[in-house]
Amino acid sequence: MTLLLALCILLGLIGFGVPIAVALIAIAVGIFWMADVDQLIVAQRLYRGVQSFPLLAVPLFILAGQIMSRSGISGHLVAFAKTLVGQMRGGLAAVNVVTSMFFAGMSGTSMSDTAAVGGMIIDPMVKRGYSRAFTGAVTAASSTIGIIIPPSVPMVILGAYLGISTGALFAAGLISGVVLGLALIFVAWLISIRAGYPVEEKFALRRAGSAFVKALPALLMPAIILGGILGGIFTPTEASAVAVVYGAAVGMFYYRTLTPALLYQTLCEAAVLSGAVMLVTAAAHVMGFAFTYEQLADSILRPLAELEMSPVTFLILLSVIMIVAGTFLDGIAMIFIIVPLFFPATEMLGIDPVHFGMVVVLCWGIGQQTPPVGAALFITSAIAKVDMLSLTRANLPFIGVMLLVLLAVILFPEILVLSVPRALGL
Amino acid sequence: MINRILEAIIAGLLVAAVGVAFVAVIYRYALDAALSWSFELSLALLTYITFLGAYLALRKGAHLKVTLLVDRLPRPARGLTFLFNQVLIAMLGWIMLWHGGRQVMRFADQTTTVLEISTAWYYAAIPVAGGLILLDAIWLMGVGAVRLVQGHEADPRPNQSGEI
Repeated sequence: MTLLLALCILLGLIGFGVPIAVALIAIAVGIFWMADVDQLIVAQRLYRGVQSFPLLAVPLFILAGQIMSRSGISGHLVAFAKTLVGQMRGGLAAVNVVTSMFFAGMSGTSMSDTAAVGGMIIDPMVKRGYSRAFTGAVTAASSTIGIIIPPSVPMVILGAYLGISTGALFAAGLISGVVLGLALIFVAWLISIRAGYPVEEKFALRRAGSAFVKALPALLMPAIILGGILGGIFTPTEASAVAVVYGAAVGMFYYRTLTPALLYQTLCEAAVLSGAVMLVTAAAHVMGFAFTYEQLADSILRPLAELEMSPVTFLILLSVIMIVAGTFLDGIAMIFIIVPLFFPATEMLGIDPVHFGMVVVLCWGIGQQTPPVGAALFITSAIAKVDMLSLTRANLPFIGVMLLVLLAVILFPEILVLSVPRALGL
Repeated sequence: MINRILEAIIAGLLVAAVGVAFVAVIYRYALDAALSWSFELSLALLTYITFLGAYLALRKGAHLKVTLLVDRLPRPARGLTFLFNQVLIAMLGWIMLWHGGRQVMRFADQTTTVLEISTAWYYAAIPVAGGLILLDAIWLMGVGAVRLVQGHEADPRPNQSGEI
């Protein structure tokens, strides 16, 4: 009952436009006030919430993504992707997805992916006769891969919050991300055949080779990040620092598109976004502690135990809740409000935490695609000059395929989630 | 002006955080020695990046929020929600300032294990940011109320709310 009331007030506050971090803390303050606890605990938990070395990867991966997005390397990635998949029907749509997949390997957010890839390929697609709605939908849908293929800021936050190995989540995300990317290409191809969209130049090994060489310094970045983390050479946090240094070096000295002034500007942008994201993370820690203190999660856990659900039913139920919540909350608020309530049940049901984490991140990604709240949609609808409704209608097949991938991940965790982390011993 | 200074400080902290982690990797592989102080320093940097960054995000109207409903309200009602939000933000600032300050005092005589500096320096990030947040919220309450009475949009800043 208290839990329900707390959640209603929380959603009410967020609905009134209260910053999410402030709303989370306000709830905690209320709970502590009613329990007559010294509010010193709020300051203490706020501090504890960021005393986690893995979380340092959040600002640094945000920074790395901004640097890569600003340094204009996406042009080379697009050119390389074009030589690979250009000859398919609807070649540029496939190029859009493939470029997003490459970019996802260097950036930890969907937003830098949308900005970098969308800015580079939306205009060429529209000029080649693709409808604006379809162009926007492919761009928005594929940018979600940004948080699924590692590095991924949501995975870092989730890992630190729930105590799951970030490396294991990254390894698992690699499989889901590639599967999702291929599925999106397949759907885009089917739609392109029906719409009669054009094909690009035929595959030629020489052309692909020279485009590959030009894109190589950029393509090495995901190799360094993933190879380093998955091979146990460095931690995700160290990888984020290496990514920043490598990205800045390549942008400044190789492609020569990143000026010191531009670098400083990306630092400032990263500072603002990091502050906003990290405060929510710290605030969530405070609210989580208040909920634990009052044992509020028990009121969900007990009925769940009585229902004797199978792991699959549980994960499907959780996904439905998260997807519905994801339509009007952004991902970070959604996970901090919903996940702590359900995570304790995973142990009882024997669900692997990495499996649980992947389901959460996929739901986060789907939430980015569903209006009214979804930044990927806003950015692409602005770049592609298409209204939200047409964009969403064109996006429905892609959302559908994401739901299918989510279902597959729920049903076949051994293959789609746990195989790579286990093989690497993570 | 304050925004510029804050940006410069946090940009510096970010560069330092990158540097520390990068040097730690080089130490481990090139010199085969662990960098004892990197962990503590990284956490201190993260603490300041978080709380000073939170203040900067607040000043820029860049905190994560949902404005879907509020945007559809008539302007006076939206102005009232803005003032209400500032009250809550001021409350957060007050708690961070007052209780965060108590926390600093309480742990002032403790030192960290490796660097052996007072833990008060770590905790200080919270009351410092809290005080700034409190001032900002009170200022915006005044500005917002005046603008509301004059029939303008209460929130003087454009919404720059981001998302990851």
